[in-house]
Amino acid sequence: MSQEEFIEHILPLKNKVYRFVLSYLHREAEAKDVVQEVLLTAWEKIKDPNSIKSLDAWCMTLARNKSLNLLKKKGRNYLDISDQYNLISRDANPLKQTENQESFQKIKAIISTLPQQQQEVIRLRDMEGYSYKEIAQILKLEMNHVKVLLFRARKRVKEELIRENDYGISHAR
Amino acid sequence: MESHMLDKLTEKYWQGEVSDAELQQLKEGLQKAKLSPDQLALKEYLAFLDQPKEEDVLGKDFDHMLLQKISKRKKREIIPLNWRNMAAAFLLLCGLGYGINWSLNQNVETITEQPQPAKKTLEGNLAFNEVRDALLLLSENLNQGLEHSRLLGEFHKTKEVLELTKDQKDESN
Repeated sequence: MSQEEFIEHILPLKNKVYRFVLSYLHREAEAKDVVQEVLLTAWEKIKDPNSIKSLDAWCMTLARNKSLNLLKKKGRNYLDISDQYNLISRDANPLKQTENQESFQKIKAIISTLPQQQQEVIRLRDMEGYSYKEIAQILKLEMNHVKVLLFRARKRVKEELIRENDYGISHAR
Repeated sequence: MESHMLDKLTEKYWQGEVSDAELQQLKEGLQKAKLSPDQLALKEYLAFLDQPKEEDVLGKDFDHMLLQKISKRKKREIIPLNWRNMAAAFLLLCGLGYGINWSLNQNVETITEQPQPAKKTLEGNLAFNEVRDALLLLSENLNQGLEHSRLLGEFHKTKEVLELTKDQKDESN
């Protein structure tokens, strides 16, 4: 594809891909390298961006494969998502801001205790907004399986949040 | 929004079955003061998901570096190296190599045919010698036979002389 098409269609995906890759690798430098590889591969392999139904899903699939391969090569395991989502509480009230930040940390901690596939699904669906079909394509799963994983993940998040809100005890640690 | 409707939508969300429009209704309904533990947990979770992420994590430097690499790769792309071209080149080389090897073998076989007249001469000499020896042996035996006949003749002559001498002696007595 042309450089103009790359700038228009592929480059805007960089941050999304970066967050996704960082959730696997947990190292910024490595994640940046993988993102670079993914985007350059997209430029080389995709002749016409309009011919791909979901460029997002295409890039995320490649990003996931490269991340998992790198983890395997380095002998590392899939890690939690605690750090790559630098969520910013935009509440004007400082007290509310602090409360929100604590709540975000709590939810991140809960999600980090989920099994790998549930984490992947909840991140792609709830945080990045992908459809079930796209998630199935990225994770190479059946769509029904994706729905089951999301149900289990959300149920666990709900139960932990209710428990923490009721007793003020973190069971996620 | 009525309570039972809010309960229904909350349940649908945790089961992963809520549509985008229903999600919007749910967010509005969760703004009311009195909520169940399920609804409180959901409100907290949705607030977590709705907070904006850090916008451009990778920055303009990353874009610039990536576009530079693309420009360099474009210049280097004289012959597109893909697996089909490489496979075809490999097969062609193998074919050429096989052909050259076959041609060389043909030449070697032609050279190895040339020493046969010399081999025949050697065999001829050997045969001649054998025949000569056989003929010599025969001739020796032939010569022996004649000699034996001559000796036999001499024997008969001597015998006749002895008998004549004996007869003459007997007459004198």
